[in-house]
Amino acid sequence: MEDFEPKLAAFVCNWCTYAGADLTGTSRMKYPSNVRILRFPCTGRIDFMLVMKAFDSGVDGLIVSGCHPNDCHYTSGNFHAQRRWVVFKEVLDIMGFDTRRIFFTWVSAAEGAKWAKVVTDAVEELKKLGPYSEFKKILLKKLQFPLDNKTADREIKTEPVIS
Amino acid sequence: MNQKINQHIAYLMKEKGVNLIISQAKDSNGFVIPHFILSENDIISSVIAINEMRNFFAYLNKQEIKSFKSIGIVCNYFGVKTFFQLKFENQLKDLELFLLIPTDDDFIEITSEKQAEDYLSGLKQSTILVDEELENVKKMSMEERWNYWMKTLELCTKCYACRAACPMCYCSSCTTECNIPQWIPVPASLHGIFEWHVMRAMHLAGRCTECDECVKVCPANIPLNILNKGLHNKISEAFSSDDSSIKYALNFFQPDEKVDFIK
Amino acid sequence: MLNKQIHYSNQQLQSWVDGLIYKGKTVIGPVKKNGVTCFSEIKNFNELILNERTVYSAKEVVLPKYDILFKFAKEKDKVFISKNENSLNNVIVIGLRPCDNEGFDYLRLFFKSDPDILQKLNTFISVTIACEKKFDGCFCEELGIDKNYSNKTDVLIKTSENGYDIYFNDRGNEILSPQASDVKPAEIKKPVPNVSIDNKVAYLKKLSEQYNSEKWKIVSMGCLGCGSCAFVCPTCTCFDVQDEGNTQNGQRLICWDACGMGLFTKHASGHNPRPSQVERRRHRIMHKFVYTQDTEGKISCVGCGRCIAACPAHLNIYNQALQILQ
Repeated sequence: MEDFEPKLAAFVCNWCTYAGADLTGTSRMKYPSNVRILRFPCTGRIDFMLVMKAFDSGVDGLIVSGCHPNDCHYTSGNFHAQRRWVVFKEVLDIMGFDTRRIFFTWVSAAEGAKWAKVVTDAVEELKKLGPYSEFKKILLKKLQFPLDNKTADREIKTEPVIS
Repeated sequence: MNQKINQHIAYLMKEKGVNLIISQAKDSNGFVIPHFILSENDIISSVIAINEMRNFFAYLNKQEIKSFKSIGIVCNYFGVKTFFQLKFENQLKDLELFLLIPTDDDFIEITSEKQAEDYLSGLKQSTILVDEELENVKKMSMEERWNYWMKTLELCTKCYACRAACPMCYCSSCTTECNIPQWIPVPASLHGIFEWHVMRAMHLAGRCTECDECVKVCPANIPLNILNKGLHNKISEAFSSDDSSIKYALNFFQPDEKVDFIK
Repeated sequence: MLNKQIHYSNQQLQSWVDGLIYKGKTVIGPVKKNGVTCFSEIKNFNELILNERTVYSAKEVVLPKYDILFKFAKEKDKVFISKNENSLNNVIVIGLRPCDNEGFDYLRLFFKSDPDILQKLNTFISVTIACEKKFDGCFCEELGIDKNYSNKTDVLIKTSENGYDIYFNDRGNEILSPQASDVKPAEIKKPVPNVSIDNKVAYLKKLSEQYNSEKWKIVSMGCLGCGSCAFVCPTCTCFDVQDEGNTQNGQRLICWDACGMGLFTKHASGHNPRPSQVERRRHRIMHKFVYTQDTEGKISCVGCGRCIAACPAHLNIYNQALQILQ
């Protein structure tokens, strides 16, 4: 897939990776613009259901990143997160979910260069994997524009009601 | 239940002030069903093999049953394990429980955490069947596994029997019932089903007692025990090889833990 | 009215069903999926499982576990709504049992003011198989349903010596398209007024006098509050309307709901008029045996026994009703 631009979300912790990503920008380092960064108070706050929600809303991959172990602003948030990801990755693995699309990393506030590398690598990997159509198949189909006969289901009649 | 248990049940009801015994019986179709003994007249003798017995601890989550305060439960190994885990999670605070485990022609009575621990340390229930199924699933490629689960989950109607029958699912309000935000899609589409089962497995990780009630009650025959067992194996492999510390799995950590996939 | 009759051998029955599929009809019948018998579209006759009761009832054909009412999408300042129109034209449901037909008959009464569902109910062609034996937990005969006969179907298949006797009406004639020489007029079975059944129905209605009985506490003890009984029931119609999607596009769906679950009656204020399983179980039993006698003129339990098999505690709804009345 040459021209495929993956949609990538990043769940980052406020204290380390968010600051790290900021440093990447202020140091004028370039990294792909595919990533949408969402700031969390701590990696311990990232419920596994939020990861599912990200995939529901159509991302092809996800970066989860926070402080290095022992560096957590709240002392132990990332340790709890670490255990959670081990278990969560196993659930998804057993269920056949493509866990190659979830990138777990630790990026500190000083590691601007590492953040650029993490995003670049992730986008490269996702370009190789292509869009996550397997998962998108199980989502309920939505109406797509333009509403011509080709995109709409055959049974569906479309009529504008409010204009 | 055998003669000695029945005698003891009568004794408990008369002398110890136990006003409800959750016993087990077989109905005319051969299903193992709960049998509630409210007075000595309800006592019946029935024969159920110990490995056929079910785990009826889920009834303790019902407010109506909880209000009996002093309750006896006829159970097997998994019941004791459940008792132990629920005690650890502070769920049996106001209850006085009498566990009755039938043996060949006698029974064992367990009332405290200490007794339960002693009983569990002496026994190890084999789970060969699940292990084999888990092995088969793990052998598949990722695409095969995805297709396998999509095929098995297709029939799920989200009746939540797995949740209702699970003794560890005691939350008074479940994540599925939360609609701001709507964590789990309500329709029983593959998407909603998939997320429900991921969530169920995650919330039971490290707590599941592997009694397989969820599998026994599922009308759609979904092998949920594969997920439960897989997580159990992963937790004991990744965090500790010691079974007894598994109860801490997701609310505890070791500072020196290293996880290879987090770069 | 099943006024015609024809005889098929095993071979003929198979080639008839295969022929229907070949002609492009959608044939739905009981199949085994993941070890569970349920109604699903078939591609050839051999997939059919005709000697078992399905776990899920045939209501899924008309009322699937979730159904899209309409989809909506927003583009700039316009909102588009597209209605989902799925009809059951060309659909043949094979392998129904007399109890399933009674279930559909109840659904017709219940949905009499819903033209969409009513139309679905009246379009598909039903092919029923008479039960030779009782399945585990069936009690249809107790409720006056003849397990060997149903006049609410288009085609009725009965096992006979060396093959099958097939009874059909005009709609059945279309899909059977038999040669005129094979067709015999069938003896029309007149409904016999059954006094004992009428008495039983009146007896069950006395449940309403027991509304405040203490016994409800005992019968509801085994109920864990899941929805398996409602989801396998051929006459349970309750659904929940859900909006899925975001501000830009999405869909409105109807999803099955069950009166056994606590959330079913919970108000937005947090108040729950049926606060415990006692009230929920009572409502279920009363609805099946009493309330629908007033609203639709008949009891809505058809005695298929599916809920008994699916229930985690295998509660027997009919025995419990009798236990209350004792």
